[in-house]
Amino acid sequence: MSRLNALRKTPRSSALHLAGLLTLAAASCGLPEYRMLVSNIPKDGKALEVAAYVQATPTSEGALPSDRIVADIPSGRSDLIVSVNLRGLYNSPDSAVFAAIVRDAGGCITAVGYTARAAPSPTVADVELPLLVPRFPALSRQRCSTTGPILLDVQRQEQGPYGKTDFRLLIAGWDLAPTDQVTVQSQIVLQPTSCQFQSCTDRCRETVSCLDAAGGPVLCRTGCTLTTIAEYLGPSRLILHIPEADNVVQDWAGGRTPIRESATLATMRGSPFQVTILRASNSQSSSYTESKASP
Amino acid sequence: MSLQSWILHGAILAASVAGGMGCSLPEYKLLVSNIPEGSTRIEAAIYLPQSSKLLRDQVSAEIPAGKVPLSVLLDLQGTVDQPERAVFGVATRDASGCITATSNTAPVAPSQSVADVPVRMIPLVNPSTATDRCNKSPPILVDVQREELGYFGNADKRLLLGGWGFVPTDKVTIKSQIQFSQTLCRSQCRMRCPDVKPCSNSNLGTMCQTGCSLTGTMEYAGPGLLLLHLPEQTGVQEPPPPPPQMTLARLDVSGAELLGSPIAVTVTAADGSAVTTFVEQ
Repeated sequence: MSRLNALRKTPRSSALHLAGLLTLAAASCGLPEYRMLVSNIPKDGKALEVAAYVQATPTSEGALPSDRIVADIPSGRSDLIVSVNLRGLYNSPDSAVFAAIVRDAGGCITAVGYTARAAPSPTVADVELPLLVPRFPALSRQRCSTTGPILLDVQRQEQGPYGKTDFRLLIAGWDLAPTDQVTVQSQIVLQPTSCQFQSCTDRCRETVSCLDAAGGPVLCRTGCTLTTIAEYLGPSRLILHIPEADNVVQDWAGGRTPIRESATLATMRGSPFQVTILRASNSQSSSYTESKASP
Repeated sequence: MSLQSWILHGAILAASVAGGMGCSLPEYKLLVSNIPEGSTRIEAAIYLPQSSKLLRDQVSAEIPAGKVPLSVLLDLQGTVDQPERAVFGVATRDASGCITATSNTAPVAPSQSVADVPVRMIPLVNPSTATDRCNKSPPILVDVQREELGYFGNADKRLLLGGWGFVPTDKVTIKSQIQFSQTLCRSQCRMRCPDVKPCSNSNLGTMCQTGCSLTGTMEYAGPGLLLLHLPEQTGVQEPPPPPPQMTLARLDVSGAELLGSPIAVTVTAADGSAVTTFVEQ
């Protein structure tokens, strides 16, 4: 996971403004460093929130500013321009990532977006910030919350040769921090005969009623924890890499008894994943369980 | 029909032109990089996706020793009626005639002067698994990569089949190399998984059922790349046998598990005259 050298609050309100019809604050001096085009704003969008993240580099500390742009969206607007000036803040970072969400009249998040890492410009750096509407909003139970972390969307991505693919979950959310703890569990259901011993039951701690091969009721194991490597990309973006080699669930009695594979990443991928993100500092958490999407 | 081509090295154009260039400019300049050491020959083929036409003429030329990266100039004037976007497939071979790398570009629009086309060769990651790489006649399959993007249950899953000499009429078949005990895999399962091979896990017995058929839809991307889109696969089921053999377990394996095992991919020429296979390891 990406680490910040120091998390600091913004020493002063950054000079930010929404160009066009909205103006939050005029840039303190001269041109703003970044000008973002926020596009794909949903029709029901009432409020826009924008956050920044400064990644740590060999020459500068990372920072996650706690202050945000919060502004009403003029009726009928599908895009807005947001200007940001980080000059003088965070040791004049040589690049930054920006994130945005839109909330509806009920205060619930209806769209989320992020920029690529962008370098400032002596004049103005134009940055695209397209918004994505989560496909399954009902799966995000915290999307109407005002404080994060909030998980909004989970997509799967894989690339590479068999056995060495980079399988990852693309997480969209809001108010995500690099220090948040993320866990992923597979909802795979394992028969008690294939998950009897501690090596399996420790990893698949939950039980669920199911039927055995003969149709009799038994207690099966589920909720198998996966080993992940988190890559923090900003307040609305996280990538969870799930290595194949680290995600084999074994059922082993110990000693010289044979080691059996109860589940591999390939089999666990056949069931939904539940992603949970926890902020230890305030015990606030958010979880998202995949639902089978119809073609 | 003739396709004029020139193979050059570096950026020295005029001095290295081989063959009559005529008065017109070449339409495309392939800038071929990342050619593996030991490669002695380069081959290039052109596909015109708008008219679904694969040009019969191909470039085949020696790579001047130590002269990389290469520039390959291609003039389609007189070969096609109207300029249109073109896809370039490129392969390099070593002195034994074995493929060392392949590449396939995205469609490139022609230019009024010369369209520069960067072609980064993709060397074979594990040449020993590309058993057909020394074949002379196409199709030749040398690499299979997996890709997936989307939501659970509806992700766009596909295989990227890298190779050489693919044509739009080629046929692709895929089989999962998952193995089943012959005790469990009896009737329905054997129809789906008809191949018999020695079991890799002795717990399954001596001989196992394998080669379970999978479904996919081929998309022709060019002479060096086929895409095989994989829909959600049906699993393999085998109900328990009737009494008195009820102690046998039911076989119920999901489509995801079939894809979780290595896949054998076969590309066959439409007339059946040539076959190439790649088995994931």
